[in-house]
Amino acid sequence: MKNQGGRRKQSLALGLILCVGTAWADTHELAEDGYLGELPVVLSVTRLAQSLADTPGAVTIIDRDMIRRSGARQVSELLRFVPGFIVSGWNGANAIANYHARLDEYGSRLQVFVDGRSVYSSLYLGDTHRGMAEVVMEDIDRIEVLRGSNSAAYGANAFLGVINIITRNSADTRGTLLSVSQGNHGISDQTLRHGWGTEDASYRITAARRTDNGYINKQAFASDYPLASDDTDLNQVSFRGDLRLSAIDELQLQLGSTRHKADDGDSTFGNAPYSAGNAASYAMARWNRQLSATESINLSATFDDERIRSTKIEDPRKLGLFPFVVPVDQGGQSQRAQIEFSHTRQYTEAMRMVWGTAWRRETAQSRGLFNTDQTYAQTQLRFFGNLEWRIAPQLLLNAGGLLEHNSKVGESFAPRLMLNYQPHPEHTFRIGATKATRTPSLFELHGSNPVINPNTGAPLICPAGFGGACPVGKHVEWHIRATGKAQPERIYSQELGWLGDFREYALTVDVRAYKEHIRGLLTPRRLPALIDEDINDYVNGKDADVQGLEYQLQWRPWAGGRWLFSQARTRVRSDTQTDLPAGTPHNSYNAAWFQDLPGEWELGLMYAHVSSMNMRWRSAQRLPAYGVTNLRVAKRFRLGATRSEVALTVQSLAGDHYEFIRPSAADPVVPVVPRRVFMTVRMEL
Amino acid sequence: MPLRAYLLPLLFVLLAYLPRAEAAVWIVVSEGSKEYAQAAELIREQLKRDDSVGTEVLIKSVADIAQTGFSSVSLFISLGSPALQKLADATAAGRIGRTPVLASLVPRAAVEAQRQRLPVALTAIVFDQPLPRQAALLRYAFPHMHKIGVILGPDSMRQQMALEKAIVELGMQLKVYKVESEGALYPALQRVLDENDVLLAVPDAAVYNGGTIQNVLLASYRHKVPLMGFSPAYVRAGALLALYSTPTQMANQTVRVAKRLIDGVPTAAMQSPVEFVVDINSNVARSLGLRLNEDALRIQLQSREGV
Repeated sequence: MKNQGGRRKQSLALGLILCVGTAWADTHELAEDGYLGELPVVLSVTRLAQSLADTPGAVTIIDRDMIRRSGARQVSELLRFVPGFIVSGWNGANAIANYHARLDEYGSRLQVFVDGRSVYSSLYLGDTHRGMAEVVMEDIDRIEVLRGSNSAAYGANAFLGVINIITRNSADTRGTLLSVSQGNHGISDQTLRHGWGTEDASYRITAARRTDNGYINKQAFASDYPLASDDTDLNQVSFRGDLRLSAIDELQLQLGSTRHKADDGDSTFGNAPYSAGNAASYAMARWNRQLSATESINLSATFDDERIRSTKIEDPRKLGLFPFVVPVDQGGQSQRAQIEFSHTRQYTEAMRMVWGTAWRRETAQSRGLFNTDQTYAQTQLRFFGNLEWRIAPQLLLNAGGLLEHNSKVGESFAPRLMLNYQPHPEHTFRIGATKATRTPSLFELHGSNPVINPNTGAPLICPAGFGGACPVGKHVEWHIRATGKAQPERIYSQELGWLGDFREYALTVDVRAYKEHIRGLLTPRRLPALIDEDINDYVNGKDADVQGLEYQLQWRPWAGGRWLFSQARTRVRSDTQTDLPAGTPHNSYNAAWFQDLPGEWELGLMYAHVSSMNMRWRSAQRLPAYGVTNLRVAKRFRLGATRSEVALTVQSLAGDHYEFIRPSAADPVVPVVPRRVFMTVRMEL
Repeated sequence: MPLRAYLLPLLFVLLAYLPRAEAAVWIVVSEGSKEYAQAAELIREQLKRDDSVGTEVLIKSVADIAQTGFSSVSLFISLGSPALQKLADATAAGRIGRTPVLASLVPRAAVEAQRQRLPVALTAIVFDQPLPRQAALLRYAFPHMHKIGVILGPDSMRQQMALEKAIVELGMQLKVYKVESEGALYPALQRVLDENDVLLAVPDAAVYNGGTIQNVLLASYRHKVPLMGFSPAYVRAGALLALYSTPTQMANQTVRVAKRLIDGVPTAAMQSPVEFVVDINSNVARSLGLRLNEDALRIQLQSREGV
């Protein structure tokens, strides 16, 4: 609406003001832009994580709060919080977290990821216990454990479950952190971390060292080596960079190197103490692009290198067998390269789909494991997809599948179906079934590990004159001579679950009932042609049925208090591997109480209970039920801009105890887990 | 008689027939957002519909203020801070006199900035939601979360005491992190997300703007800390929830206040919006495992205010 007056004069003035006005608008934001302006969509659907009610399975989340308050020094100790996990180690230097205990001695039937990078060892049995130990605790944001097979989403080898370790974004760890722990049994840990950068490009470098003297030996019988040889000296350096290349592109870079010295040796067969050294390095790059608010793609490349130096010294002189010491080489090296692409799209309000492909090549070379200097290799190509379909507002279907082609064993297909029904905001029911496989490791396909005569270089043969203990002409020890017949193990499982989320009581309950049929467990079986000797091939000879109930509870009854309880009742049945059922405790539970006290004090009390079990087939003695109590008291305080914390942790409050196995005539020297007491000082600048 | 003698009466007669500029209401609209123009139309329509308002209602642009001739204006309604600023300039130049000014669709900070240059007869309806209402929404939406964090910049620092009072009164704890410039934002963001349950966004261009919002949202999502924003754009971008008043709601309130001013009824000088909207991003809520209902929360807030 124009007013009366000289229009020409007015338009000139207007023109002038518009020029100035536009210039002004360019250089100044309107004060009310915040209220009226537009913003880019940042948390698009493809960026958002699934809620617990929508997860196709039972998940246990171990968050940073739990990690800090537990006083755990390595990841395996944290898995106590997950129902069905038993935590110990075959000695103090080799911590193991077993899911369903005996079924998974080395964690080779679990898939363990660190930021999406699979951390199993390509040598030996594909165990994950070392990879899991080589993560710096301070860098972990959370650990998501999905119990039950999930090959469809995570690849073959997610046989019994998936452990997803997610480290903190480097933008969240800027500044300097120093943490020092000192305690008995040689406990001496240090972590130094420095992070820098902006929100668009941030980086961090972490250096950590963990050392201790492991377990102790209580001698039931006389032994040549009174002290357990299971010291740990773990040194690692890792780097992470998170870069925002553009409004829609993100790049994550990781590099790391570990030197892990683990002592071993016990006094059986004159097995002198020795040091095993593991040097591992990795590099990873992951690129994510948000194509739109509903679509994104992801491309990643990882490279792993592992070198193991490990020479066991067998000393038959004491037994009068041979006049020389026999070194048994257990070392080797392996490399792994993988490229993976995935695409995520929210097609409609009710349907979201992820699909992708991955190529992986791994090589292994070890004279001790393969009896040759040849390098073995296997390649695999994977196609995977998962559809999330909200059939009705209360009904969510997750249907996924994985097709894997392996250069050694051919094709395998692993489908997964899970239905989540949420009739009420507080209750979600899950029902599902899945089929998964575990591909044989290179050792299970090509392993050959005779004890070699150091003088001749040939397999060591028994001399004359020792009778039954070492029949003349037979090999002294040649445990595995694989023929390559090993096929993937298979698991069919069904499960029922319930998630109760009671907001007004700050209580969540998750229950999972399952039935698993495992077929074709790879176990050593005497080669028919060499039936007189104990030389074995890996064959898919054994089956097992596992049935159980697992549940977990999280409760915040009052401000500053947190209760966690998890329990697993497991029953293993096997007609073919009769010692298997005894190796899994029927009942295990874990309880934890974390409490904030006035004056920035904190208290943590944890109790883990394992019912009777028999971990090693040699031992006739069943280990009776045992319980372990851990206690942690800490004080947090602020000195200027520095936040600090001093904590005292006591592991195994009641004293030394046996885990997994107790001493007997067959096993006179067994590890005893000692009471550990250590003090931690932690400073953030 | 000479011609001159007839000139004066002629002049008077002519003057009588000249179109007389009646006492009008001028709605001064800022450029930069179509919301202003829409609000202006709405206000004009509603004022014209009311017969008790006997004057003309005219929509003017910021440029129209540049010239003189305001004696016939009975009320200025400014929409947006540029319009308010121009009116303040005109006042400083002595061209407005004692005509009342009703400023709407402006943030409180913009009104405070112009306070000294504007006449005493200034009434403002600001975007800023009353702090007790914000605190109440935090209480109703997050009954189990007690630690509220805010980042205050140069423009919002003056609200600290009022904020503390509103939050503490409802049994929650407030932690304030002060930021002088955008460079200091991210260390403060890190600390506020580490130490609190909810991040309440208090409008401040140095802290929350198109350039910083991406990082703020991503960092708070990584920490699983809900963000409460102050506009619909925040919710679309990824803030869990926002409390705001739409330009339409504010226009309605502007009409009511304008009528009171025209009738000479005394009215508060600084007014917060009466009508409001609670907006929730359901995808983010589901992902964070939170259950929130927009309507239920709005009704709870309204009944608390006795509406």
